[in-house]
Amino acid sequence: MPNQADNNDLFDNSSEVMVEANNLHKTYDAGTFQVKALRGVDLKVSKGEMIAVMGPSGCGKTTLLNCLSGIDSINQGKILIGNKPIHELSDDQLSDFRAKFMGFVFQTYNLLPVLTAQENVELPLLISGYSQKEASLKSRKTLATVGLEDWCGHKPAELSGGQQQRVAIARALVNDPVIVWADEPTGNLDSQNEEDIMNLITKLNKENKQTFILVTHSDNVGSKANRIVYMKDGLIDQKEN
Amino acid sequence: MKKLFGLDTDLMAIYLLGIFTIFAFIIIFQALRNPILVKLAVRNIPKRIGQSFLIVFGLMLSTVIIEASLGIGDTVYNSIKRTALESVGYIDETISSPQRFSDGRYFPENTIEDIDSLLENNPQVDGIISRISTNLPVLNTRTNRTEARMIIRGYKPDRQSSFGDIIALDGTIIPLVNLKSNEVLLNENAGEVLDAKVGDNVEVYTGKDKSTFTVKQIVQHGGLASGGDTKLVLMSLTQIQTLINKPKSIDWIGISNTGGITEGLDYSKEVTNILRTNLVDREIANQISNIIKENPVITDINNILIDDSFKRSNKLQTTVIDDLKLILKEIEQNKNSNSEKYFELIANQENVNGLIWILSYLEYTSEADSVSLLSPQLNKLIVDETKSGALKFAENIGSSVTTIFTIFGSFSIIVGLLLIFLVMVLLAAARSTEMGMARAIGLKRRHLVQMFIFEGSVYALLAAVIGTALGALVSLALVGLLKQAQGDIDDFPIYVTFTIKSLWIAFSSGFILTLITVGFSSYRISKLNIVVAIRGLSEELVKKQNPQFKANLKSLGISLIGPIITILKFKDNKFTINHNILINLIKFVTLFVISIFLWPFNILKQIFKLLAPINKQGWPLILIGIYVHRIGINIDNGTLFSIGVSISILGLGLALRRILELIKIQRSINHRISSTFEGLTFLLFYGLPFDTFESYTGELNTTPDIFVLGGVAMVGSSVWLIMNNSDLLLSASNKTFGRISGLQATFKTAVAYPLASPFRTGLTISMFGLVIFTLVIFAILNGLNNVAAEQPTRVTGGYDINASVRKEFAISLDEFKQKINESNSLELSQFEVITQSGSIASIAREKSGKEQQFKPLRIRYVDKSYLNTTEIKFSYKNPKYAKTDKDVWEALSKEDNLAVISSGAIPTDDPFDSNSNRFELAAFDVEGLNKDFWPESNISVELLPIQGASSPENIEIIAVLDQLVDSLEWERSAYLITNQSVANNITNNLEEYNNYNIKLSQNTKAEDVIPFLETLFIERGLKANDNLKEIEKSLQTGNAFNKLFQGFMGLGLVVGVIAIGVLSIRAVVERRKIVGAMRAIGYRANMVYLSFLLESLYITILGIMLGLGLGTWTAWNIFNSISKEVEGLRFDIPWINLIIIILITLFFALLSSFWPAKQASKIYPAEALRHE
Ligand SMILES: Nc1ncnc2c1ncn2[C@@H]1O[C@H](COP(=O)(O)OP(=O)(O)OP(=O)(O)O)[C@@H](O)[C@H]1O
Ligand SMILES: [Mg+2]
Repeated sequence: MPNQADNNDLFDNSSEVMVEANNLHKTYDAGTFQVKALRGVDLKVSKGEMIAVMGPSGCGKTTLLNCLSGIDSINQGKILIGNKPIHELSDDQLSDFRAKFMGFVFQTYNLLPVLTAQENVELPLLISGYSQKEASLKSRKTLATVGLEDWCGHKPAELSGGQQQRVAIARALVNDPVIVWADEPTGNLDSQNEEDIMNLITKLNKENKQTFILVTHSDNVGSKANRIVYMKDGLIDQKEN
Repeated sequence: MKKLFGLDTDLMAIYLLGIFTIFAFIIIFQALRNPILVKLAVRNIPKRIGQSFLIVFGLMLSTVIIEASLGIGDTVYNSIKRTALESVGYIDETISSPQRFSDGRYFPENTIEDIDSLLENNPQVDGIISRISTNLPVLNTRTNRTEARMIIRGYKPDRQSSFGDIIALDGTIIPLVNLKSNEVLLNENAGEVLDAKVGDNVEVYTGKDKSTFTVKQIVQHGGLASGGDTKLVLMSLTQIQTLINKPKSIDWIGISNTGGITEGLDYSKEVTNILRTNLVDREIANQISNIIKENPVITDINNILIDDSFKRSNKLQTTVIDDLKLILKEIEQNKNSNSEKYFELIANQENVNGLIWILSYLEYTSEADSVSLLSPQLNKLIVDETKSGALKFAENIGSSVTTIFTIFGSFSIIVGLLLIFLVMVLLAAARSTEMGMARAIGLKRRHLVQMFIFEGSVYALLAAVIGTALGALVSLALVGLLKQAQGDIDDFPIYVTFTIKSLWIAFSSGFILTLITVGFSSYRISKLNIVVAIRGLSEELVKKQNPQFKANLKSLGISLIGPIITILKFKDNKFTINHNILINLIKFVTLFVISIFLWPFNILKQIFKLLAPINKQGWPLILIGIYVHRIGINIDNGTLFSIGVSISILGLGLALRRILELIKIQRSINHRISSTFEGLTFLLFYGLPFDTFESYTGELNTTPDIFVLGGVAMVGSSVWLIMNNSDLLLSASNKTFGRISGLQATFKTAVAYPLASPFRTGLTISMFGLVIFTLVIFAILNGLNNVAAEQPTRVTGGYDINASVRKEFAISLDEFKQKINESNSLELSQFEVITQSGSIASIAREKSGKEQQFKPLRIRYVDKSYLNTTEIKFSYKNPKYAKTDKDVWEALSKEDNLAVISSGAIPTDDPFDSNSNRFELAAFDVEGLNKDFWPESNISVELLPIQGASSPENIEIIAVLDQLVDSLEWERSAYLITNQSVANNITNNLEEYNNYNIKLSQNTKAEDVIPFLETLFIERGLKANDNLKEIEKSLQTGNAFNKLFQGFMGLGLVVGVIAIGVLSIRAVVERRKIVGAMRAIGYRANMVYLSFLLESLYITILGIMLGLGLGTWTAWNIFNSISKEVEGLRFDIPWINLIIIILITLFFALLSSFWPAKQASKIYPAEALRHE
């Protein structure tokens, strides 16, 4: 059972606004010069919404996602997730927060190659204190929802790209997170697989009322979202929206 | 040192030079052909200097261990050698009477004139001198210091000139001629024990009388003044003749060869031959030739001598076999009268012994008997090559010390080689992108291998140089420990020595071993699918593709004309470039010469490749294995036997794979079944008790290398077994430790990663396994020595003091008691029992034994009160005579033709036992000896005394002494214990007792009695030992040696710990992105940290558990085979000792992965995830 009760007050489930970012600034120090990746981004995402962030390469999409999800720091601004200012949390608190309330899907899947699909999916549960038995049960159920009930015992190397990404989605969803972050989840997939994955994501989003924030280059992916946020040069492109 | 593992070190050095040159040539050859590859390869080294440094460090450890063992061996050898040379000085050969004891050893003074005339005008001899040497008690009246066994020597003064000057401490030269009849010289050692100075009066006791001398000078060691650890009083021959009342007698003639102390050695053989030829009793020698001259005796002997399998069986030294061949040739060529050459050869006692041995081997029993009876009379005087003998002795000890260190060091050396492999695999992983690019720009796989070898040879060279230097330092530290081990037991001087030869052997063998490993790993790396390797998946070493038969045939064809191809290729490539013609020509010639050199190797390699598919079916290996193991049995070699069986097991494994493949078993299942079979069979074969196969093989001769083979095989096969069934281990681990809440997620990755890379994990586990394996065996076996301390009566027989005097000074029991009674410092009531014993030398053979040759067997005769009071036990006894140990002693006291024999006379399969000329009872040469064993028929032994000719005496052996009795001796020895009448019967005169085993009364301590006892009997030169203290001392020495070995083996742990560190560093680099993902899904930084630490810990613990298990198992086998001979041993696992070893290992393993784990925990997720 989740045991980090102290984190529960970090998250306000009653809030209708899931993500609120104000005047986000992120500057990378690349030795001789500085890169202003985010230059004052404002963003609001409501509960259960699925948004797609799009824009030219290098405009700061990934940076925005990383900052919002707390795996990267910001130089200036405010990030509220369910009304809680996560930029004020310590590294450990952030880890716990991610384990309990967030799910991640990456372009390159990033599954642990030495673990089976099921074990990969179990990891977030084990981190947040589930027993091995509960974790097994829950992860198998989640793998079934992504259509991989027969592949539990296989290692990532034995799965196709599409299958691996579905395992990654299962891993992201197994903890019943309130937000799922996905950076180009279909970037490595062919169009058929992209279609399947996006259908799965839209379905899950509808069923579970989870908030999805996707970064993508694909118009097809964008078209499935409730809303598209365009970025340009580290800012939300207001004209496009 | 001249020998190592029984191989000549000079030859070894030359061979190594040869191999080194070949390797150097090959590398240079390839380098000349591909200078660009060299540039590409070597450029990496200075670019990443830190990494290069680490690599060199990892590669160097094997060399360090080799040099450390050689260095310590050299030091031991040189220390003994210097001591030996110092004590023999200029004397190269000595002549003495065949009777070595009591009065029989003296012979007329004028014998020296015969020797003079024999060696007259011989340019190889520059001096001959006669002397008497004896040992007597000496007292310095000024300081009251005594020495009970002072060596007193009187030399003929007018012959002193070629034997070096005698030089006083103040530098003045003192010729012996100048000594007045009441003056003596003391050498430095003697001066020290007596605390003497010039002008002191010393009393020399000669039994009934004493004589007083004035110390004229104290003289420096060297020459006639001897040295080493000899304490010497020096005088002239006439003085000593008068002193001990042996007018006109001498007991020794010494000969100095031309040249200094060591140069004289070159002539030793020739001078000895001249002397032996002329001193042999020709009448007896003729009788011997008459015995063997007859057909079919001579033809049979000839046939066996040229039989190769007989020669291989190692029963006789090759020099003896060669001499015997010559002897037979001489006899055949000179039918009527024997040649000079014959007399020369037959005069060598070793040859006669060899002859007797062969005669009895061929079952010419009566001939063997006659020759054995003649042999003691063969030589009128015995000629010994004293100096070369002393050096041989030094040589033997030095090389056995080195052998022990290299044997146990070879585990660490192997571990070091594994580390090299690991380093290279990881280096390849680090270079993966670069290699990918290289492939992309068109380099072939072969080129990649070459690049690695080029880079590797630079590391190997650096590693060999630094390793040799560091090894020398380590051996210095070990010598320090050795000094401690030796303690105050005796004041044997230790001279630290490094020889160019050993340094070269260490350097070149280190370089060669490293380079071979580098080459091998490069080859494997080139077969490695880089992507797979980086992910660390199970198929780390991807199966190689079998090239077609045709292609192989073609390569073989090409290799047959190798040099021509070289010419053609050179023409294509190089002459087109417009370079200096001369340089091209030189290049061309070099390449051509080298290619001719490599030609045969290439052809061999191609043939092997061609046959590989057939080999894969398994049956060729099975057959080869059967053949090899049969040879092992035939030539009585346990190592070869085991190798043969191992080859067959490998073949069986291959065959099993093949069969399962044919019946279409799934590949992964096939692999698992087959490798489980291989692992289990190997483990079982090497783990079974040592005598399991004896009924089939007979008792095989084992050498210490069987330990290395067995250890490596056991550890290797268990790792193979574990790694091929790692899923079982994984689920077992997860089910146990994986349940600990809070650790679950961390533990899961910590275990999954290592088990997913079976290859590198297996290597690392093997490293720890091997080292811990050896340490455990050592610790357990060292613990066995404690029986002596726990049950001291089994060693001492219940006696507190063992005192002895020289036979001439024998003290009767009455006199002994009376003196004690009269003394002020001792009371008779302090003594509970005083028993007496003595000993004589004899030669003996077992009736109805296999060997008919007489061998030395000492006889200890004891008095009734010894037989009544001793508490010595027996390991075997004849049930007809005795139910209890007491019964045996009673039987000895009642009957006069009975004896008990020491455990040293029981045949042993101890691989460290090297003495093959010891008397052994064939009746005990059976498998499965147990306590209740006694041979069916009686054991009768025929004894022939060495002194005083008389007919052989038969006695019956009724029990075998407890092995513990001799546990304080360095070597196993064969002797009998009888009552006095047996001894009297064979020597025809009453033997006197000169040894006293004393039991003190309850509250008396040995240390309170001994000093008074020695003073009381100073004029008899009585020496007394505190038995319990001797046991304690030997235990201390044992413990100190144990520490020394643990220190030495610790080097192996260093290698393992470094391997863990290298693995962790690599893991962090390889897994950056995954760590980023782990952080993203909620791993805290310290969970990542813990996960990496746990991973190292897990590998280390697996290795430790493996080593503990297998070590205990093997120690248990050793224990069982020892405890058959020694009763009352307890199998104790020295937990404290082991826990300390384990904790140290764990600590350092953790320490080495501490930093990498910290780095891993600091990985910044956003950063790590961004990079593909
Ligand atoms: N660690 C870093 N150091 C310096 N500059 C960085 C770093 N990470 C990102 N940048 C820069 O920040 C800017 C935004 O990068 P980001 O990865 O967010 O773009 P993106 O919109 O995700 O692009 P893409 O569609 O190609 O993924 C880019 O100019 C990039 O070069
Ligand atoms: Mg991006």
